Amino acid sequence: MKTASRFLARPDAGSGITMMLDGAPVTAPPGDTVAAAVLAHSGAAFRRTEKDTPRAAYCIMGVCLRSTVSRTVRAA
Amino acid sequence: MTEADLIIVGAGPAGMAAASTAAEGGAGVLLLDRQSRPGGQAFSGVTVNGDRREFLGKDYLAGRILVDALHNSNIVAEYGASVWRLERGARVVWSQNDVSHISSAPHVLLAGGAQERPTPFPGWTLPGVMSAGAAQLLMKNAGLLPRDAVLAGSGPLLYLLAAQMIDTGARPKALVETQTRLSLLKASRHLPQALLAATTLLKGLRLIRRIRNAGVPGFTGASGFRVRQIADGDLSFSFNARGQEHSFTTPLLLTHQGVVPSTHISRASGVDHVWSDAQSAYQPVTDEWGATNVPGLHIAGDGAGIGGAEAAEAAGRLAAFDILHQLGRLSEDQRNRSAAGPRSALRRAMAIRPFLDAAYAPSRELSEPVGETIVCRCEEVSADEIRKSLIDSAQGPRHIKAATRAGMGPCQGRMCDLTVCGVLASCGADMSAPRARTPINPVRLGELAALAPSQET
Repeated sequence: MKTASRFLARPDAGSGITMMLDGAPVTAPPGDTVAAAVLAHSGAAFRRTEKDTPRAAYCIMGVCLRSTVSRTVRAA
Repeated sequence: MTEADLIIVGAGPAGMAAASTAAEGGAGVLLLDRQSRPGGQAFSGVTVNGDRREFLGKDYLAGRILVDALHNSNIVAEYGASVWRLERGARVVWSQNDVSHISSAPHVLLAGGAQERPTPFPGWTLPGVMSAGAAQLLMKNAGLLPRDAVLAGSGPLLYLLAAQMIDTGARPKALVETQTRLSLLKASRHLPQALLAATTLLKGLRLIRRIRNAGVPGFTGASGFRVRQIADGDLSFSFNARGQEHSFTTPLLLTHQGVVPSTHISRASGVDHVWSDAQSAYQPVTDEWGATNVPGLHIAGDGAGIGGAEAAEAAGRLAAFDILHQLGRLSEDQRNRSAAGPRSALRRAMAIRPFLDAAYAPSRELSEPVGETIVCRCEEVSADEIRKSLIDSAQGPRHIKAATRAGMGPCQGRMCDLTVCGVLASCGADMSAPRARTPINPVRLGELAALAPSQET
């Protein structure tokens, strides 16, 4: 089930890069961090810990390092 | 390997001011920053926001002046550059686009700034709980506005964030503060000195009035924070205030209790650190120019002790003048004369600190958590497990780390070092500054392997 974003829809987001998030296409303006792009569309957990507790992005400044994602495609 | 007179780590207010000052003085500067653009956290995204997002305020937009001054042929700036090792001598090892580089220079200035103090309480690891600073960065860089958020904790950043949210129509659901009337009363003895920073004081009062006028429910002296997930995406945040229990349902709880110096890089580099009672944090020992016990290594800005963006800018210039002097580009007399302006700016900016530090001191409950509250987010170590390891003969942070794995995850203790120290202090145990080690930022194994031949030569 989709968890609504915890942030308001962006009036200035416009269209931009389209990507797949949990099987559905979403768009993000160029320059967004991956974390921002995901948070804009979903309030769900990013991952589960080894003890199976849900976690999402927390600090947005590279301190907690818990919003790490795997990258399969590199920007040109 | 690249050569420069000075390598600056961090392109926030301190690093940017130092870079332009040193470059104008004739020094060759290599400026490294992990973000994709200059600005640091204070001025994050200032180069791309242009005239958009006016709600971020004049102080924020003023950051563009510092960015513009980086256009100097003596400055090579590398962004997306994550420093993961600093060696005496000095060599700086940094990673960019999956490739590591080694740069050397006779002088290094650390301008790594601050991070938010951890705010552990039951449920703080749930999705939907974020730091107030995180929300502000998302506003600055992505235009993301918090939805029906509750703000909780203490510190001026909560007022700034609440006012910015009100201005954008994303009014907070409540502002829940931990500081008590007693702490404000205790802080009032610092008010005469704070009057030197009257403009900052007035700005703060204006923010508080705007929040009140907007009708945001406010609480002070709050305690007993706990949060649980009630429905998909919604959280129930409860606390005690005015002798009553209160509860709010919100998708987003934004917590804060001030910022502390980011000392990971300085602790990994052999710099002496001390505990500051006033700021309840470790900070490196520096002289009036930002010089440390490590030859050739200066630290400026919030990374040397919290003072805010204006203080950081002034401290960056002071460090640059001292480095120019050591490079033989300024006489001692020239250095001292050049320093007069920044030094009085620094004094002005720091005048309000003792008041702020005392009025918004971290709450004991959030600094010395108990029970099942998670202390180390990476390894999921609870406050009880840390207390138990103390009873089982652990002494000091190193033993705690070995016994519980607290601080051994990807963040390397950035999110729990201070809390572990708080728990240690509450148990009367040794709380020396915890060690930090290379690599101080994540680096791919392949990058290390690729570096090996160049290190042998």
